[in-house]
Amino acid sequence: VIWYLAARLLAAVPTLLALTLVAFVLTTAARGDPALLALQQAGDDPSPQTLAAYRQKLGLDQPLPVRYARWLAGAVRGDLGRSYLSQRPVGAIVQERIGATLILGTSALLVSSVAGVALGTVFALRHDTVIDHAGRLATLVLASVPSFWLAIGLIVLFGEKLRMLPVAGYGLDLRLVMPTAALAVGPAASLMRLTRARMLEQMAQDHVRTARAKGLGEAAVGWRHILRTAAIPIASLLGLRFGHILAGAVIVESIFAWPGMGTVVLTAISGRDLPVIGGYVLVAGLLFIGVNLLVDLSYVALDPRIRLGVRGTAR
Amino acid sequence: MVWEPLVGLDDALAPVPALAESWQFSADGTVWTFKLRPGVRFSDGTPFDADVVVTNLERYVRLSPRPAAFFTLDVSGGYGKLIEVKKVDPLTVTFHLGEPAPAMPSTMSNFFSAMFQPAGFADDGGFKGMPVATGPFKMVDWQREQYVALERNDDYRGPKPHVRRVRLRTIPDGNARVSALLAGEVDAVGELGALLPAQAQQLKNQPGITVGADPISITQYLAFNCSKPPFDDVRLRRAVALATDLNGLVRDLLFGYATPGKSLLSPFSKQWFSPKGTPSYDPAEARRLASEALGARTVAAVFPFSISAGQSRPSKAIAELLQSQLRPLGIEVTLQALENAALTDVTNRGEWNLRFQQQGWANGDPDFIFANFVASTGRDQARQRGGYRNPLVDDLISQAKSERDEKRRFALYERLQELSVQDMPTLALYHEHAPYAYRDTLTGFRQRVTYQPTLDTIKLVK
Repeated sequence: VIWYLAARLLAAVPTLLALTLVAFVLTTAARGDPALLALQQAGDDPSPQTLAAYRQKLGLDQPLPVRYARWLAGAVRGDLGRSYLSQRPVGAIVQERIGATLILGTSALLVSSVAGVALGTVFALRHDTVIDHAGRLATLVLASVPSFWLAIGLIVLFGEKLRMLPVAGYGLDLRLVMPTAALAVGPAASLMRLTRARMLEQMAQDHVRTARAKGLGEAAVGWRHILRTAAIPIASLLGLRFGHILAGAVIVESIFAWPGMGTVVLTAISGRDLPVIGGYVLVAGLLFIGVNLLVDLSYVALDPRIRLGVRGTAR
Repeated sequence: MVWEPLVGLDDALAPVPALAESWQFSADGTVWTFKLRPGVRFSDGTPFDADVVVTNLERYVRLSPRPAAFFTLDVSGGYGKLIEVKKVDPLTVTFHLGEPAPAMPSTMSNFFSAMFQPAGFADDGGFKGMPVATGPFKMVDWQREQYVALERNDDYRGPKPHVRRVRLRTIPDGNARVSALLAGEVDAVGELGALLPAQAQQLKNQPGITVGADPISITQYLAFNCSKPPFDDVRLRRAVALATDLNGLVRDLLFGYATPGKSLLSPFSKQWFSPKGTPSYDPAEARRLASEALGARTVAAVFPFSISAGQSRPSKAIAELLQSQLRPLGIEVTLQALENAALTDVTNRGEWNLRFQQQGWANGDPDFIFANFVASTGRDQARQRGGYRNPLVDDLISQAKSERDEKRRFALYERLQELSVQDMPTLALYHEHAPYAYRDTLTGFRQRVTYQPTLDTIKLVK
């Protein structure tokens, strides 16, 4: 397993390189001068001398490949550079913010997987009933609604009208509920649909009928023979959906004033703050790869037939 | 509310004593002497004196230029050619300048002369722990981009605030701010651009919520690119000004939360504003001028504006209104909604004919506006490619800057305001009133012309 992990992490390096390179090139290609934007933050305007001095200080007078190489060299040593906008070390910014994003991301991932699988199972067991049809329609709608829209809807309903939940702020209490819900509903809905479809498929299969014929109880059949075999595609969807959760978190965090990476990254994008964007892409990439690695490892637990291969893919 | 400056500004944007009690300049205008207020103590009990001022100023010089969230800390902006700051005695400080600067008390007002307890300065230019200062509140807790917690400074020498603790929260999303207020999670929403005029209008009808608005020193301008057609022709610039119904704009799009443009200098400054700078509204004359310049031709104009600014101002609606008012003149305006960074780029490349320019007049010094906006070497005309150039105007601006007689200085600025109507390099669209809203849990919420909420006047109800 350790070899497998090492190989997978090694395989992730080119992916991360490509990710950060794309982020650098895109940000540079977008119009706007980072030094000018940094100095202009408050509507003041720097003199050409001030601007030139600041450009030099940030290393913006160097061509893109040089800047990327310098950034990369730093990143390898664990130094992510300094923000153009605030001049604070990016490492410190990430450290300060990543916790809140992780809490929100994990809570959304947990809620969506539990809710998705549970409801999907219910719908599968009650397939072609009214509950099932209504549920499928609802999940179709919910899976298509963007998280930021949902966030605003939740605020209006539970914050303004019912006054049940706090509208904004950070804390491991009721304040976590709405942002989690806004992020979890979409992935939960698509998980529900997948779980239902997979379970129905499995229920029609021979080994399930055999199991029933052996006289196993419904619960044992449902658990051992249906859900476990259906679990693998569910787990891989969950891994992929984590990317959506991370992406949605950028906007949702700023709506709920949740102090994660989201607001930082939005400011960084509009200020062309390359080091911060690079740092975020790197960390988000690592998180995504990490979660999907966990998913791959879970295959082994879920299906004993699967062995880990060192080639980078399971099976 | 936590720190205090050497020089403050009153609500007519005139410099008033704060930590400095009085000031005067030498005969040649290059040495300013500041008398400090005696008996002032920081909230930790340490005394405020000349040494403190010198250390603070040295820090500002060392940090400059440094971008900060609210203003770019560039001492050359506030202090001109500052050579040295000297302590004369414990309550007297002199500033030695490389050239006369009669407006220095204005230019160094507010955040340009904020004074902190120097023991709290960290080596990297920040603070160790909470900054300690002399104001009516002290900072007790702070989480970046989440909140600042203030507590009343019971040793404050002036009138003490009514409330003991204030928590200032950052809620970046405009709709979420309104929701937080409606949900009773916050007692008041204020600060620059915190409420859109349309949001304020909606909140007005909510029970238990009071909406107010106080004039602030921000003016929204319409800048012309005078370096290329069509607006290199002064007749067309004047025609645009004459055709723009500023009263209607303020009434319909800003719901009255502004004063229609009166001059390049905000009318909130009683000291410098002159009605001679007020453009008139005359659509018939506008059409006459336009047809004189264009005949039957139609010309195209590009108007880029920022979509992100729409969070605090109805830029798109205003741009559309202008577009419709210029069409009868034969000027076909193309609107370009751009993201902020892209807009800055387009502006600096001169790829525009019309654009918005909003400017705070945070120090109340008219040179700040004219040197930046109108002078041919200033930011707007040179770097942002406005391209307006009138040698007479340039000359008046540099004369006014070093004129030491207040009356003659006013006469020069009045003349400049008058000329700006004739030449129309930039049209003042409106002078903002920042709307704010608060719950019936408190009274006395106001906003200063320099756009801080007045935390010391707030009283809790029941």
